[in-house]
Parts: sequence; structure tokens; C-alpha cells
Amino acid sequence: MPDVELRGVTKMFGKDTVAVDNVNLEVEAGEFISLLGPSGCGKTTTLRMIAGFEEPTTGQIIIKGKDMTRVPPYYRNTGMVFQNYALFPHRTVAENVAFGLKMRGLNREEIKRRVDEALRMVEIPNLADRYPRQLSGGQQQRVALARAIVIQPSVLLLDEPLSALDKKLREQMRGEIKRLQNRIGITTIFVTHDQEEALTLSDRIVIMNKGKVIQVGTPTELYRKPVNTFVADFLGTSNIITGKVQELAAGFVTINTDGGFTIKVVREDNMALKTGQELTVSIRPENMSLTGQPGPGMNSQPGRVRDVFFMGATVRYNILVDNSDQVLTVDEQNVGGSRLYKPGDQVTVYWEPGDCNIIAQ
Amino acid sequence: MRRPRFSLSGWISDYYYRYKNTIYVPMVLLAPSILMLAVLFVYPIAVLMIQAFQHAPTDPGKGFTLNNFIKLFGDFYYFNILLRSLLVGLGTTILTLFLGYPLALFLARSKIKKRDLLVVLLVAPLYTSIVVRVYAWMVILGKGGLINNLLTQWGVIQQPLPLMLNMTGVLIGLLHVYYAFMVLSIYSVVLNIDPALEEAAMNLGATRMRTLREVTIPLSMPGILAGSVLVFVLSMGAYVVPAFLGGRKVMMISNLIYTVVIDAFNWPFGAAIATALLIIALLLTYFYSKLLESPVKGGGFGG
Amino acid sequence: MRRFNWGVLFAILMYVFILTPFVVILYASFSDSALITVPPKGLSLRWYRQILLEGRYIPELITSLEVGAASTLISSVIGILASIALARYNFPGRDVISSILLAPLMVPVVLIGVALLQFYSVTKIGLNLPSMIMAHAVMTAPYVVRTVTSTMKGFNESLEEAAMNLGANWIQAFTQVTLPIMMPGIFSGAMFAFITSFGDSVVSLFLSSPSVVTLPVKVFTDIMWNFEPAIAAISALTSVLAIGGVLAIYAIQGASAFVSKQ
Repeated sequence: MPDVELRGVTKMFGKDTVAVDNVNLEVEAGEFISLLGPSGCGKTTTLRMIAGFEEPTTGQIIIKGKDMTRVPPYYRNTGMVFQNYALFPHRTVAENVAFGLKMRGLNREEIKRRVDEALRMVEIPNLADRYPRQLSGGQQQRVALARAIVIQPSVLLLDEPLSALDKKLREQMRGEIKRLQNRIGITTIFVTHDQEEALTLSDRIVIMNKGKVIQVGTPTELYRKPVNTFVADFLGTSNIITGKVQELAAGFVTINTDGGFTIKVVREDNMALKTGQELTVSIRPENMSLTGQPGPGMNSQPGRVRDVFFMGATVRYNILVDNSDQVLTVDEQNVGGSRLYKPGDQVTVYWEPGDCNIIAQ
Repeated sequence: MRRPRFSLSGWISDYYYRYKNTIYVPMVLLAPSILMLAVLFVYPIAVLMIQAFQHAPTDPGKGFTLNNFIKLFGDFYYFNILLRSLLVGLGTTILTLFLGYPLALFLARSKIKKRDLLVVLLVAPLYTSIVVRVYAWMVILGKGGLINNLLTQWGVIQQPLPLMLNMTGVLIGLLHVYYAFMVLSIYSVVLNIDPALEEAAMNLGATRMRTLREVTIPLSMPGILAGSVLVFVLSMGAYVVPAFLGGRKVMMISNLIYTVVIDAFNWPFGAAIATALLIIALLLTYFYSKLLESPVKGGGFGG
Repeated sequence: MRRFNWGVLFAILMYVFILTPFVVILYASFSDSALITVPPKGLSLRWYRQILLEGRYIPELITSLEVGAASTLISSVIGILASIALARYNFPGRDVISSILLAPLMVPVVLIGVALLQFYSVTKIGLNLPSMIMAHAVMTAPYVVRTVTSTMKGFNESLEEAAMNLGANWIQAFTQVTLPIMMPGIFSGAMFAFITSFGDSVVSLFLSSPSVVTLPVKVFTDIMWNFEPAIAAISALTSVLAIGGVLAIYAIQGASAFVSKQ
């Protein structure tokens, strides 16, 4: 039985605005699942419906087997970390963490014991008597986490909890959230617009756009096999090449691209294709290279360097394919001795047919 | 989490939550205040307005009549009081505006450390009774008051100056009572004008005075308008200041209402005067809100 | 080059104008003669003795405190409820209702006095302590509505949601999280309501009866009929308390309690 289940959940604001459109989702016990999408895609509204702050227009929300669709938030036993942490400014750290336990009518010793334990778990036992305004962003984040997990919620809900932190701290807190979640094994739903956070933290990712679920899968599945150009583009960078099927062979398909050149793409067995059909193909920049051996098992395309972006570990080139308007983005590892190209240099782009992903349109 | 045993707060909360997104919640929340104001504000004033059209004891008759208003606007004595109230309101507005704008600008733009303290000192007198403040002015302005005493002692004057029980006294009193309203209205608007706009104007070659005229004053128009309407309405309807600093000579509309209603017991006529006062106040407030709605706020300055 | 700062001179002059009456009244209250003169011929504490030891003005002071406290309580409770609706809900007619709730501020107080005097006589409710209290509640509720609505608009609602997420029902969340955090705003609204009620003379003058005479009404009639320095003494006492209170609150929580900076 899944821990959290959404059945056909739709949320309308007013008569015409569909914030969340027929979302179906099952979150397994102990799973870390991310809702990922651009702002306004409905991910936060979905989370708020699970917490009980918004009521679905239609559909059901089931938590631990109980229908919670119309139950007020205070009976749901979810633990939420808000985007701005929402720490009570008039209460100390310990009082913040104790709030949920007090509401549950626990006795003083039990509350103290569990508050201490939670603060140790997030590694700030020494801050118990501080007020939120005396804490740094990272410390506030830890208090918010402690306050949410101390009540032993059915599900931990994280609403863009890292967005207020600077880059370094964000990466550090990311690791800590993951370790904490592993340790206590709590079912977690994480809302973010940051693909890197979603990829590194999640067991599964739900990609949303305009209120709809576009694709659900593990980070690897989503990265390697995006179902459409939105996912391919949203999750990392992709080269999108469109064209028509020119020739079908066993295991391969040759595509005559709209840019006026042909490429070879590995074809999965169950994929029904016919000659002349329009196709979209995505290839990751890191699967393309400016060094390689031309041959029958390799795509190669000559072109001219248009832009060079030095990014540290990699160098990103935009390459305009000769006699075409197609631009290919190529990431080269920046290892010792590798050559740096300049805009205008003549190069050849190589990639393997197996790294091409056919997007079913 | 298990539902706790019955509690009143839980019961109310559950209802609140069930109807959270319906019109019922704001209706219930607004009910007590709407009820209070409907019964004790809107209804009594409506009744008063109706009574303004009834026959006065001095003018017996049946049915509705306009005689009270004809008396108010036709009798020179009463019309004079009405006109005087409007003029005093206008005078007070002009005085507070011209003496208030520089101070508001000074407070909003000065970089002194204790600016907040100065603002609080400006506000603090509002927390004392008007009766107290007017009494103090009587002690200062009276025949044997502070100013006349000092001037006589220094030999500047032989006869005490008539500083109160006339228009001077009323205007000084009203200026003191309503000055802070004007300053604060303008101050809060000027405070929100980005100083960069003024710097930009000066950077483009405008002099200080020119910047004030072309940038600062037009942008602080909402505060000037709000303060002016507020001070005008309040001072026009002032009661305590004219009662003590104006005396019989400078009677104003509120004093007239009191006299007519309490001393002469002529309710319909008192109601008519009150109605006139209310309509003037409402018209002013209405024009003020229209002015603020217009897209070009206080436009037409210098071009 | 240092120019002479006319702004500072002007500000000093205006502050002298604003504050002189209070200094004068304080000075005059120590006069030893029955006729008030400034500067006084001799100094004494006899008028303070009359008030503090013989209880002159004390019954009226108590009435004013009762009326102020009760009307502030009523206007605060219903004002806070109304503010929740105005700040958090968007419903048809909200602006109209909001301006009705603020209307008593836009109307000369004499109208409230005269209209309620007639209402209380016609309905046979009569002039008594409850009718005075309700009149003051009508007059002061707008102050609470105005300050609390703007405070509530600035309140981060996710704090209340966080409390409910942790198991507090709405009433608990509101009373244990929302209200304490909004306390400064509520306090300044209620304080202004109380001070308005405490200092009001016009509405109280219309609605006063032998059994209900507030302090400003008593001072008002005393100024009319006897011009003794006892008036200066009670005026000085209440003013010093009020201005001192304002400065004390400023020292504790800054200017925000008195001036909103949108």
C-alpha cells in the first residue's frame, strides 16, 4: 500500500484557472519523491493539497490508507518545511520544535526528550534557547526540519526548502537532508524547480508542467529517456534534432534532418516506425565530442565553432553545422592537454547512434 | 494524528475549515462590526437626515418640508455660521499645509539619527485630550495670559492684545490641533519617494527649488491631498476650539448644532444643520477619492 | 562651505509651537493662587493635593477609564474579527464594507454625538454607562480596523499554516501564533482607540448625564464656569501620563507603534 496516493486530483482557482490537472501519483513508504517543474506548474499547489491547506476541486488524497481529501490540516499528521521556514519568531528554537508535541498533548519530559533528540539529529543542540532571528539561514533550515520530523509525521513535505540559501550552503544542506531521510526512512515529497536538487536527492521525480504530470521516473530514466522535448530541455540541456525517417534497418534508423544532413539513431525493438515519418531526437551535449573516429557506427558532422563557454570542469561549444542552420551544443571534458577551440574554428562533431533518444511524438 | 476529544476551539476550527473558501466565513467575521455600525452609526444618521425634513417646533405643520434648509441657507445669521465654518476649514488647511510641508520634508529627508523621536514628539500631543490643549491655549492667549503678561512686563504693549475669543484664537487653536495630521500625511508619502528621483533631477541640471517644484511636490501630491481633506473636514466640524477660543463671536457649525439641539431643543433644525455638515464632509471625501483614482496624480504642474 | 540650515531653525520653531502649551500648563498647575496666571506669582502643590488627596476629578477619571477600557475591548474584539475578513478574503463588496467600517473617521464627531443622542432618546435606551460605552466603541472601532487590517496584511500566513500543520486547530494557531506576532499592531490600534475614547469631549458632551460624566466633559464645564488652576493640574497630570506613555512605548518598541511607513 502506498503511503500517499493522489487519485485524479484537480484544483481549479476560480472558474477558468486549472492549477492542477488530473494528477495521479503513488508515493511508496520511505520513498523520496520530487515534484519538479517551472514556477506555476502546480507543484506547490499539489503539496499544499497533501498538507490540507488547499482542497482539491475533484479527486482524492489518501494518506496511509485513509481518505484525507476533506480533512483539515491539523488532523493529517504531515510534517511540512516551508519555503521561508515559517519559524515562529516569538518562540525559541526549542519551543518551535516542541509546538507540535504540545499540540499532541505529550507530557513535559517526553517533549523535552524528543526535542533534544530532534535537535541532535539536525546537529544544533546548542541553539535550543535562541530565537529564529538570531539564526543563520542554514540553522533556521535545520530548526524547520527538526520541527517537522519531531512529530513523526506520516509524510515529510518540503516546499522548496533550499531556495533561500546561497549555493554552497544549498549543496551542503542537500546532503544533510538526504542523509537524514535515509536514516529515519521517512516518506518525503520534495517540491523544487531546481533540476539538480531533484536529480541528486530523489528516488523518483515527477515532472510537472501547466498543472499536468508530464513524466514520472527515476532520475536516470528521466535523464536518458525523456518522453518529450519539455522534459529533455527542462532536465539538463539537450540537442533537439527534428527530421523524417529515411531508411529503416535492423536496430538502426536513418533520419534525414530538417537541417539538411542525415544521422543514424539506435532504434528500440518495440518502436513502430515507417519511412517518411516525422521524428524528434534528443542527444545530451556530454554525449557529443569534437574528437573521434568517423565510421559506420558513428555520427559525424563538420561545422564551425560559434560560441565557447568555459565552465570549469567542462567547456561548452555551440557549433553551427556546415551548410545547415542546426546548432549543436557539445560539452568537452576540460582535462589536461585537451585543445581549446576558438569561435570560427572548423571542427567535426561526433556522437554515437546509441546516445540518441527518439522522442515519440 | 487522532482527533482529540471534543473541544470548543476544535469545533469552531473544523467549521472554519469546512467553510474556509466560502463567503460565510467573512460574513460571520464581519457580522459584529457591521451590526454595530448599522445600528449605532448608519441608522441613527439616517434617522437624523429624515428628521431634517420634518417641521420644527417653531414652524408647526404636517408632512415633509424643506423649511429647515431654507432657514439655514436663507437666514443670514445661520448662513454666516456655515460660511464661516467653511472659511475656517479652508484657512486651517492652508496654514497647516504651508507650515506642515517644510517640516514633513525636513523630517523625511534629514539624515539626523533621532528622526523617529521627532516624529513621535509630533504625534504625542495627539494622545492628549483636545480640551486640555485648548485650555493651555487659553492660558497662553488670554487677557491675563502668558503672551500678554510678558509683553506688558517688557513694556511692548500697554493694553492686552485680543488674541482669543476671535478668529486669531480659533486659527491658532486649530493649527495646533490638526498640524500633526497634515505633517504625517505628507511625511509618509515623501518617505516613500525614492531620493534617486530628486538626485536624477539635480543631475539633469535642475536647481534645488526647481527639483522641489517639478519632482518632489508633484510626487507628494497624494499626501498633500489626503492631509488637506482630513484637516478640512476635521477643522470645519471642530467643536471645542471655537467653543473656547472663538467665543460667541466666532461660533461654528458644530457649536450651532449643540446650541440648537441641546439649548433650543429644535431637533429638526439641528438635524438639517448636521445633514448639511455631513453632505459637505462626504462630498469632500468623494472628490478626494476621485482625485486619487485619476491616472495623472496632481498633474499639470509646470507644463 | 556650511550654509545656515533654515530647515533646522524652522523645525525648532514648529516644535516649540507644538510643545509649549504642555510646558505652560505644567508650569501653571503649580500656581498658589486661585486665579490662573502665567507666570504664577508663587508656587505650591495645593491643586495636586486637591486631586490626589481630596479626590477632586477622581470620579470622572474613573468613569473615563471605565468607558475607555470597555469601549476599547469591544472595538478591539470586533475590529480584529473584521480585519481577518478584510485582510484575508476577497469577496464582492469588500471595498464598500471596508469604507463603511472606516466611515466614523471621515465624519465630524459632532454628527455621531447628535445622531446617537437622538437614537438613545427615541429608542428609550437612554443615557447611561452602556450607551456611552457603545458610542465610544463606534467612534474607536475604525482605528482598530485600520491598524489591524494593515498589520494582518503584512503577516506571513505560512506561520499560521505551519502551526496547523503541526496539529494546532485554527483557533489554537490563531491565538498562539498569529495574535502574539501581530500584538504590536493590535496594541497600537487599541491604544489609539483607548486614547481617542479617553480624550473625547464632543460625543461625551452630547451623551453625558448626571450619572455619566467623563473627565474631559468635567474639565470642559469647569473651564466654562470656574477657571481654577485645578484644571491645569488635572490636565498636566493626564498629559504627562499620555506623553510619558508614548515616549515609554517608543523607547521599548520604536516609532512603529505610532507611525506606519507603508
